[in-house]
Amino acid sequence: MAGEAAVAVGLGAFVEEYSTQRVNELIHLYRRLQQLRRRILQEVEEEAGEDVAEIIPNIVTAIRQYATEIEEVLAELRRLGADPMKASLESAVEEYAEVLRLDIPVGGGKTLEDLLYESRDEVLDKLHEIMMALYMEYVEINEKCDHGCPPEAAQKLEKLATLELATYAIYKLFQKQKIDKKTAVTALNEIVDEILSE
Amino acid sequence: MIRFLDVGYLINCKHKIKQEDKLVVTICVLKVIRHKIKKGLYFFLEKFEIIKDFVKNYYSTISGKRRRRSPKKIAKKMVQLLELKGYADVAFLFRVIARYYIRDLEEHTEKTWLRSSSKVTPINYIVYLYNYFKKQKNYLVFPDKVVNSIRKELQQNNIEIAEIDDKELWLDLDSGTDREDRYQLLCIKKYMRNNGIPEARFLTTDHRLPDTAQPFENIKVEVVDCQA
Repeated sequence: MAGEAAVAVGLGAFVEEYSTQRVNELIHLYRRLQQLRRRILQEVEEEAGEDVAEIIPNIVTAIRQYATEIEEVLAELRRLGADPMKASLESAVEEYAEVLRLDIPVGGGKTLEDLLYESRDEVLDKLHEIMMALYMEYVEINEKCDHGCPPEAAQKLEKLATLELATYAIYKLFQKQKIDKKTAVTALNEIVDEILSE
Repeated sequence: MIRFLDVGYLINCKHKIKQEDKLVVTICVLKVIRHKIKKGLYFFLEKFEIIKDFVKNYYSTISGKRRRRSPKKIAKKMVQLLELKGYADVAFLFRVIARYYIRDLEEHTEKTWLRSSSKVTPINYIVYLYNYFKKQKNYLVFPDKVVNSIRKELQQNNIEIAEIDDKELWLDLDSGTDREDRYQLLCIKKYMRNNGIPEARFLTTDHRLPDTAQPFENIKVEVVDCQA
């Protein structure tokens, strides 16, 4: 019986514990990045108030403010053998591909796809356009970054990252009724154009 | 007997003509297609919100899985929807997308969409197309990409592309709904004169073309129906 107990707790223990520990270390660091992102977004949202034109400059400032903390996390990720830029890009491609399947339930037995066909919500339409534009760009850049990102691709990623944060900030301002629908749609429209520009 | 092909024939029909016929497409036909694609693109981008509403209205009553089709099938359905709504210029654009392998677009679609599934939902496809045309001002070069793809298919099917100096031909024409048809006929006439061809046939899908072609006695128009 003791033998069976040993097998139950010991078989596969090393490989499982080793990989769990590694995944946990990575998850912890990604959670830390997520917390920093949330703080940045919160600050951007508070400082922008009703002025959407302030969002992008505020994002750039906030990222600079948190640069040291972000760098520390990135250094830790690299120490564990991860390539943070490649990992972020690959996960963005996967996440957008998943969301753009449009089968996410949105309540009331409906999916995001149903909502897009049935509603006449201009903000939702613009968000869909942005998701598509980002997905198209990320897929393209991901191919270019197969063996390390060339400088122009890295530069484009930086721009897209800022625009992605700006999209969320605009959406939150609209949700909290700090800006009206027309302002939100105009701002989101400019973001799509910017994503798809050179 | 030489048979010339018109714009309608090129975008609606597969080339299944008897081998002994010499098939010719004048450069003027390709120029008309380029011009029409440019116009279709302009209206597609300009009226996108309205066009998206047509798609929403049509597909909102169809359940999720049944909406999903291949991009080519969606493009075909878009032709019907747009023609029904009086958007013939944009319908032309979708007709060409449905009919031809436009290399850059097909490769981009393949890479973006068709990795996981061969079917897409129409709203994703038209938003994707809208973004594709806007991306890095792709709409400026797309008409040329279309013409290049058509040229390639014509060459693969041994259809001759006749280069004609058409400068005065277009300028000499007064305006009118049949201007593009008369332009194509004048190009054929010039080619025949330059090459000493006494008589030729002109294949079209347009039932009004025989009337337009009446003054061109040595060009016999054959109307074919190959949309089915």
